[in-house]
Amino acid sequence: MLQAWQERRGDSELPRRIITISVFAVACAAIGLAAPSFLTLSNLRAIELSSSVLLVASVGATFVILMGSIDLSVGAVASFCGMLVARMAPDFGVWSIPIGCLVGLSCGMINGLAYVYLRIPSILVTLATATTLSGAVLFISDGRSLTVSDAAVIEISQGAWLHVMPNGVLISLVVYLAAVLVGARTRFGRMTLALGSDEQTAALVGVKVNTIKIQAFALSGGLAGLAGALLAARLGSATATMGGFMTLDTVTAVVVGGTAITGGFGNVRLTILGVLFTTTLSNGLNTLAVAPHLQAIIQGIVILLAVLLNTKRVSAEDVR
Amino acid sequence: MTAAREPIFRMRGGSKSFSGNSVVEGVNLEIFANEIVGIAGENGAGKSTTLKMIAGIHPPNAGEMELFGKPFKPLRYTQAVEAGISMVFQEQALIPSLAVYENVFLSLESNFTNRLAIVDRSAMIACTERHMKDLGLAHIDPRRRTSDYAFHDRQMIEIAKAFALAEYFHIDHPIILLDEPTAAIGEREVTLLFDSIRRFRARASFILITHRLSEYIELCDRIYVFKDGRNVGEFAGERISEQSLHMAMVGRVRDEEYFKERRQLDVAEAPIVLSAKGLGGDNVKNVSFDVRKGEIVGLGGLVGCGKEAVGRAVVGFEPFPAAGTVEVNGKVLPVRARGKVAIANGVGFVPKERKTEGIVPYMSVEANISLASLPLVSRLTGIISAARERSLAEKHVNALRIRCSGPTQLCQFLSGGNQQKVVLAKWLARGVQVLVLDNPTRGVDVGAKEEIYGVLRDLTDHGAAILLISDDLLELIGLANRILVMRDGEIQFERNAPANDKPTEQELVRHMV
Repeated sequence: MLQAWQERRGDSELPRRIITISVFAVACAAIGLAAPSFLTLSNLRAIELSSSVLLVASVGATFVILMGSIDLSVGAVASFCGMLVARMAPDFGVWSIPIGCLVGLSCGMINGLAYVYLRIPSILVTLATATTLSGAVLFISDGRSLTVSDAAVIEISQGAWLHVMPNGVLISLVVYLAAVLVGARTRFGRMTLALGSDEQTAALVGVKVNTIKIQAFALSGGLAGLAGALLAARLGSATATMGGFMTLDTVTAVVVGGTAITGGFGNVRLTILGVLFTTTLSNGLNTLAVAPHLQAIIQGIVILLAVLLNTKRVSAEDVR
Repeated sequence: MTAAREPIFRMRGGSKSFSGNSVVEGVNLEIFANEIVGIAGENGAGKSTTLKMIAGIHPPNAGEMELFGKPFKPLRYTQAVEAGISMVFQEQALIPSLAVYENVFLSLESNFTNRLAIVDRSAMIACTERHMKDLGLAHIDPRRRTSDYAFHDRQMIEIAKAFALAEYFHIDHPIILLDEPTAAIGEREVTLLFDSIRRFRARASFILITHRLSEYIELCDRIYVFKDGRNVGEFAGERISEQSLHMAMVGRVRDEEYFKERRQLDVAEAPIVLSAKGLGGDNVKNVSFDVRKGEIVGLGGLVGCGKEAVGRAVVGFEPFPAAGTVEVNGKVLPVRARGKVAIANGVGFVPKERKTEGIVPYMSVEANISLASLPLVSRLTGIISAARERSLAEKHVNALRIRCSGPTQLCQFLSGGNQQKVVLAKWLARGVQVLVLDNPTRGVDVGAKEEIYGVLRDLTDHGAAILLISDDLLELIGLANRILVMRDGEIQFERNAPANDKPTEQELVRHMV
């Protein structure tokens, strides 16, 4: 039956995906057995919350990676915007969050413009942006951490409008679902994939290739900004380096989600799998009280295995 | 080489197939000492594959080879080099950032190490210098960076490398394979290259592939002619002429049914849909033509004659020759953003490179088909309607008989012919009035070809104007109402080709060369 389904969908990746999900489930069960506190409601909620921030940043990064570029400024943009939100919260209240997003969007747009018009590889452009912003964040915070005490801002992350889940999780799910829709069912989504496959194909159906590229970077920046704001609201404070982990974690999540790092293959839908994988792993290791240095080593190895399992690698056929 | 008239290299019954498709079949070759031999043939005749068989890059499936009187069975390029065969690659195989001597002895540095395993650079430089001097290339400084030298000099470096490697492996008369060495260089450099090869022949034999027939005649002692993967003729000395070569290369039998010639429309009275006037620019000079409603105009010529550039100009595929005007239904397409305006005016384009310009491999069949007509299947919100997209795709999958497991199958898993039908469907889904096709049946199997020809006839029935650019003469003759032959960027010859009076390949060839 599986084979029939696979044939109909033309999806050679399906068995691999099922294996990945099974391995993930077995790993969760194993950690749960070893450390009973892992599968408690409060811990699952903690996983949910830490996933939500990473999910917001990762769906944005997915579009950039799908079109064959990379955004290394995600973490710095998140830190910068989160700090900005903390700084503005006393004056602007809840409005500081959309302002933070807009600032992130502008940072992304600058990435896109430099990438397109100065013809600098995206890895270098975004690296430069990241470095600049990590300096700027120290400048606006005087190098100290800022407390977020505005009730409305805290509510955005920690309140529960729907009672079943914290608002932070709700927002990230809305963002995720919207991004899935954009990825699968809009011109922008289709063209990012087409661009990642080959620019000529996209150009020949009358697409302004440069516009799509700039839009993708702007989207990634805007969502990184939102992730930073949500992070500050969740932690109740902002530090200059709080978003730093996101830069590589988004890449990990996207790639574990099956999107090719070279672009042209993958989708936003499965990025959530990569995000859950990444956060559950570090949470699980924490619950198991594994020493931090060992945690990093295990994470590295597990990520490698996950990528081996879940991603399409270049085959001899593709080379020829 | 003592036995002067004993060939130093022999191939008997050399055959090669890729995933079941035979590319070269039963080829026999003999190469003598100090000889320059050409292998001529149309695109896809198996020339390059044969060179790669000799060089161990694509070891033959069947047949045997003999080199210097010994059996020769290279499985890798390095084994061929050790036995005395080197190839000068079309896309050069030198590392630009290394010094010349480093490139020459790349991977052989261990031969120049002293007891402390430190590479003796001065010995390598001296050895390179000696080879350069022997070959009359004293102007090339082994110490300089390879990228400092022009393309032509880098070719010389590759040839010098071949001699240096031959010496290293104790071969006194190497065979050097040249794969389209003149494709990327100007006339002056070609003269220099040929002069050099004539000098070097005292110490080596050469096998040459080029897309210019005149170059075979100028340089070669003997020419093998290939057709459909077999060698069909051998020309030497007096018998070599462009005409004789080309006549031997072409000359397949045309099947009228195959090209659906009875369905060709009479378009003498039909209105003009596409009109190009005075197209010019890089490599294209003053090209003008009209295409009428329901007409197929064929554009032929040798590789490099500028026919592809004409196609690019019509559809606005950058970079294109910008001079002159292109009109569709009386509306002039601007130079700026011509591609977008062309599409808006009903121009479709089936490009030459299917995988990088036509389809998105890891996208479903339906998403590929709707790629150029997303507004048609989208709701007002800009969200694509799954149902509308599905029905659009299904309509064309059925109409073009695209063989796939369903509209959600990824294009990657379709055969070449079916992928090409997806590209056609992409434009049919939009509704085209002008369709430009650049070698639409390249790498497409015979059955799918015939179906594609049927689709083109259907399109003309519906009033589309078609510009067909093709390297396949039979295809041009069979399909086109009118044939234009280009040479050196100009239209050299125009001939009406009604169903009852089709030209022969030979008639067209005369104007191509």
